Amino acid sequence: MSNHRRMGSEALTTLKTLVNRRTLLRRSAAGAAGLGLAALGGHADVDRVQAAQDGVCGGEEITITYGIWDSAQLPAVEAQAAAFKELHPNITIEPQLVPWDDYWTKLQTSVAGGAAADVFWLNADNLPVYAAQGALVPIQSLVDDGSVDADAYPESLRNIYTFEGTVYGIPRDFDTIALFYNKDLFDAAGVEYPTGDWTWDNLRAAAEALTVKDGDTTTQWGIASTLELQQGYGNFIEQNGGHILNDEKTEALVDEPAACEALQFAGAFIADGLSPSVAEQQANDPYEALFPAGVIAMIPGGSWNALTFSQANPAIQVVPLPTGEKRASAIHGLANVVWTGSQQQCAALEWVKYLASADAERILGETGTVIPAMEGLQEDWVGSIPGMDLQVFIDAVDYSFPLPASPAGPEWETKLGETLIEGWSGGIPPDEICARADEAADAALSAG
Amino acid sequence: MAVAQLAKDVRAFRSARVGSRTRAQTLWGYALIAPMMAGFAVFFLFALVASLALSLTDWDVLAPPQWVGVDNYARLLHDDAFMTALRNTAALTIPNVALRLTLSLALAIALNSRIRFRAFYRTLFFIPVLTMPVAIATIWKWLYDPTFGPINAALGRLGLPQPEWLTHQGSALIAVVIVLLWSGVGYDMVIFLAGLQNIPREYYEAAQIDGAGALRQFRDITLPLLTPTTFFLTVIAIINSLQVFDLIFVMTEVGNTNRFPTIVYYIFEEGFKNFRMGYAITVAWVLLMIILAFTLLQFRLQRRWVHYA
Repeated sequence: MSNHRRMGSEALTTLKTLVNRRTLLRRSAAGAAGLGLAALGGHADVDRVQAAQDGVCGGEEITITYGIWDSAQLPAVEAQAAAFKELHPNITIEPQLVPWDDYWTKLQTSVAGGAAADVFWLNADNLPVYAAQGALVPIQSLVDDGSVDADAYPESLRNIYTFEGTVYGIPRDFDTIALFYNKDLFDAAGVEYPTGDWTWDNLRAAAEALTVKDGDTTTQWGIASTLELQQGYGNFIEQNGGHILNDEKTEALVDEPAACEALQFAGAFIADGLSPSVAEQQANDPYEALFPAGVIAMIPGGSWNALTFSQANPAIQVVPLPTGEKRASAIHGLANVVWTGSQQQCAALEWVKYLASADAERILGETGTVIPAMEGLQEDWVGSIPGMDLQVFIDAVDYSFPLPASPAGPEWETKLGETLIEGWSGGIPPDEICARADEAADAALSAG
Repeated sequence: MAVAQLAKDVRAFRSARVGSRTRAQTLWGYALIAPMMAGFAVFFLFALVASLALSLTDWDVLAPPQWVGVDNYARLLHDDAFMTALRNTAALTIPNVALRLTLSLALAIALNSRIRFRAFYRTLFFIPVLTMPVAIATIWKWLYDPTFGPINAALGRLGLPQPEWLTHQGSALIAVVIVLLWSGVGYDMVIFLAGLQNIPREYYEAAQIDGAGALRQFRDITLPLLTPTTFFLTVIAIINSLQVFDLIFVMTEVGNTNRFPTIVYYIFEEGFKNFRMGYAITVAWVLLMIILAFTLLQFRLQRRWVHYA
């Protein structure tokens, strides 16, 4: 009995010192002041950013959340967060990793629910939608006053993240598309390796020579004609002189002769059995399973595949995409954007400023997973995989085209892909595929 | 009805006509259901009413909802994609419910008889019910692989056609129904078993004495006395079939599209992929109406064919 009482009073004393009324008042006052400051901030309050250089943003401990989707880049992000912590000891960055498949639904619900990350990754497809709806803080002022050196970034990338003349994001990295191939399979078939001078005819001939059948089943495909716009048929369209959408992003142009011819070229690989069928690609992803496993000889792919491919099989090499009427490679890069509902906009903008700096970009290059967007910093990435000629991807920037995106959302691309998939699995007569795809994309663009 | 009863309870409670013991018990009753009712009120009732309001808006999730009245409902009538989803769901529900009940009843009868390793079989058939739907869908997706999967390999060896299962509407329907049956029959079987074991043995013995064969016994004793169980399982099976989502999401997606969308998948697509949450909620309400209609119809009809002991 007496033991209990003694422990009880000890515990009470400890509790009293912890929750000292004075400390409690002080902490809550600081918290309220912090919230008040942030509330006053509203949209990009650059004056506050500039004024609070030492003990940045009020000086008290701030944690901001940073939404990302690629676990392979987490080490690089953490390295950037550590370097930022040395610059501004009172701001802590908390990365929030949501895998790609769930990232967009999670982002939508978190923005609607008022609990989105303070800073997060955004891609070209979604920039117009989020910017048009006022979910992003414009960082035009950071560009205007020189906190961010916009000219250090390729113009085609900067334009992706400019909406109605205002800059909403600074490109973080970029990726282009090239042709990966499996040296071993070429050796086994006695076919010469692809070169940078290849044309569409060379590609077709090699695909035919490299497709191996065992009776009725195909044991090896020459090429993967993938069902993706960015890594697959979008490049063929541009290489043939066609375009995917018009400049105003209000109409699809895949029905025009040049674009349609390209789509038929891509579809013919599947129809003639040189590429895994739609059904097969549905069952096994060509990028994740079939190509690394050595069942496909060639695949057009983005630079982000380089590391995983080289680790899966050192015999995988890369050359530029073949030339059609001209050279073309889709360029894309994601950007860091700030959420309008963030309670820590000052700190968020500081983080974005840092991420746009040469130091942060250099960290990206050194880890080798993505190509830093800032001009001149690509050498680290190029040298990161000794066995592979990654310079190909950097050279592709010269003939790259940005992926089109519409403020109406990415539905047009889904509808376009849906029609192509339907057509390439035999559900639509081949000569109607282009027209129907065009129709479906137009309908989605005008539905808004 | 319930509200009137509640009002009556409260009036009786307030007046002194209720003894203190009864009063204490009533208080305890309400206190014990209060947590659940609170959760129900917040997460279900409130959400229901709010969603009805949202279905009358155009909401792209990022900006505040904008009132459009019944435009969404009108739009639904001309929506081809919705009609496709509706057709797919109906095409899936009919065979799934019919086959599921038949198979599970057959299994239950078989496992109610004195065969060896009965308990083992019962466990075996019930295991799919306990497995995560996504795991089931992933494995079956590999089984259905047109080039490397064992199903097509077996069909090939037997000289039968090897369809591209999940890519075409017809074969995707068959494929999905097979997986639904495989994963759901165990549950129905267990419920039927309970129903079967509730039938007194004396009825069968009496029938046997009167000279009725096994088939006659089944038709005139087993089936009628199982009708309460059958009724329950039919209602559940229809509701579950109309709401199929996870199998569709995992198995029939290719690229960014779905080869066999069902209504719930369409709701997900419109709301989360196409930024049309208001419209998605409208579709959800229409689905609710459909399920409600079916269930009410069945409850109405049960007076005709269900014999409660």
